[in-house]
Amino acid sequence: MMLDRLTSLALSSLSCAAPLALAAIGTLATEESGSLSISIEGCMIVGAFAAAVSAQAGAGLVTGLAAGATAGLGLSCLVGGASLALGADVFVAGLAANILAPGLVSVLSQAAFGTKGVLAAESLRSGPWPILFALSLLCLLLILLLTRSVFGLRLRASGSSESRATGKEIAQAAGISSRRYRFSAHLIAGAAAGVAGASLAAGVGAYVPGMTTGRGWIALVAVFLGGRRAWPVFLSCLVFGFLIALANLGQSFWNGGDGGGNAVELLQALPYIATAVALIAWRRLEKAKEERV
Amino acid sequence: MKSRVRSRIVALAASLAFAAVYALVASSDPMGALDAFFVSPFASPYALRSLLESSSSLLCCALGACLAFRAGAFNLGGEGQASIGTLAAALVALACGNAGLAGLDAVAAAIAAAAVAGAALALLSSVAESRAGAQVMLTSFLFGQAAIIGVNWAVGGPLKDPQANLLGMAAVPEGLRLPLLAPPSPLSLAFPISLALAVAVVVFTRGTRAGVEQRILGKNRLFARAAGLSPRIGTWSMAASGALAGIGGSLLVLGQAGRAVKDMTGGVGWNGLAVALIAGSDGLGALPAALFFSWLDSGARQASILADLSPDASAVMKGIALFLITATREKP
Repeated sequence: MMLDRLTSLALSSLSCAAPLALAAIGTLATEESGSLSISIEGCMIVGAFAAAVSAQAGAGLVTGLAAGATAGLGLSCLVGGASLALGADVFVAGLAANILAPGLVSVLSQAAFGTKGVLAAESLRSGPWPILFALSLLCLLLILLLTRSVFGLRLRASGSSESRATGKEIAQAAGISSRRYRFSAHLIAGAAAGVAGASLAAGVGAYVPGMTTGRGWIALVAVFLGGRRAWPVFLSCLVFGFLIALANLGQSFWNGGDGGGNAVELLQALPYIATAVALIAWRRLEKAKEERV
Repeated sequence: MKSRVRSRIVALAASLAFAAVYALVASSDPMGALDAFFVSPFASPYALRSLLESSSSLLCCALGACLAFRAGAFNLGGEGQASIGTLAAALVALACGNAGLAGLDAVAAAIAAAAVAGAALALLSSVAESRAGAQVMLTSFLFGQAAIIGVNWAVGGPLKDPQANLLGMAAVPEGLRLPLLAPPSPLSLAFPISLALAVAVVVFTRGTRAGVEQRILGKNRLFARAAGLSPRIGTWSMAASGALAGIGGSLLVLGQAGRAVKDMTGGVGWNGLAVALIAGSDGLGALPAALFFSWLDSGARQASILADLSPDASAVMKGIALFLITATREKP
């Protein structure tokens, strides 16, 4: 009994952590390139919706995830293009994308399916294992790309986080177009977030408005909490996944289903508060370390 | 300056063009939809007054975002700060009602409580930055989300009015609401209050020493430190930012709705952020930008009632406007 509960908690932790980790590693790519994208939440939303749309045509899990990747890619293309080709502020463009995404999804859903609410995606629905496998594989590939490839090295050179100016000079000296690497980073981040969003839709077999519930922002925090290094970022996503699963478990455990107002609702705030506390504690430690040096 | 105005006109035209194309493509009655969208918000004094009323809380949140941005603090918690403001205002107003107090003093107390609550929430992030170096951009969002969950729980749970069908607190007594200026329209004292706050922000940012110091801090933190400016101005800016968002929330409760309900803020904090960015963090520009956003909202709402369109079309238009404004702004 107890063991069952523990294994189910472990599985649901991993299921919550996987989309977070994929989105966070994608965001890490933009941060390393020196052009941090905050449009992850928006990319996840359009990714989830695109997956559900593909399911209307009977698509399975892989096609659904690909549809999500495409949609996320499209939105991040807009952000990256606006900021790198037109010189827009990348922060403002990301915010614009986050405002645009839920509106666009609602408008398209109303126009195509006559509903701006839940969109069923039964054909997409899969058990936790296939989704987990697909996301882990992508995550691993992305981490290897960032840490073990020439591309990843050049990406970091385009915007070395220690010193942007030096990074740029190194990149220029090596004949690398930092702008092109930054744009690729935006595309990677958008596609990764799109897949992450699509996996949320696949997990419940539907697109539900607001289903991303700030996951894109938590992924952003994970990038900083992991000190902008791939594996620590991945690890902090595992911790957040565990917290979210714990909050969900607590809610289903104590909630007798007696409508609103149950104190268990407050558990939903746990991931946010824990994230904030972890961030503050980590930054404090870093600061102390710097002062000692 | 000229190019700034031009980029805003381009953005405005593009977002309106989207509305026109959307109405033509998606509606079975395109002319009716266009009319509902573009004309009906201005068609009657009543419609115009409700437009002004609905822009009030948005303007307050936008002013708050302006102050934070000017000081270089990315306060992304406006939504949560407005949300906690709705709770504080409703609690104080109901307490005043129980104590038999009424009138403008009591209304002012409710608004002040909302300002304090919003400021306190924003200050958490400010302290987290000054003490530990945690980014305001991240902590303000996280604290804000946690606050929204807490407020929604309180309003729909322990503080819920048992007689009411909706998830919300008891109605604020008549004498404790913002007086209506032109009944039967919903236009209330909320709009003049937000205008007065806009004037105050403009005077502060353009006419005072602290306003200039705030700008210097926002432009270049290291220079500000080297010039011997007190970092306290950043803390105060964050507090004022949260206070203004909290006031924005209180205007929702004490104005048209007359009570605090679950999910009341409905994006007013995020929209305030967008308005501030469109206005270039300038209090004077925030007024037309807020009116523009309110127009988009009420136009899209009308179009969704009178024609078969989605009310969320306004979010698409806001996104387009924001994209174009930041993409066409003059480059430093």
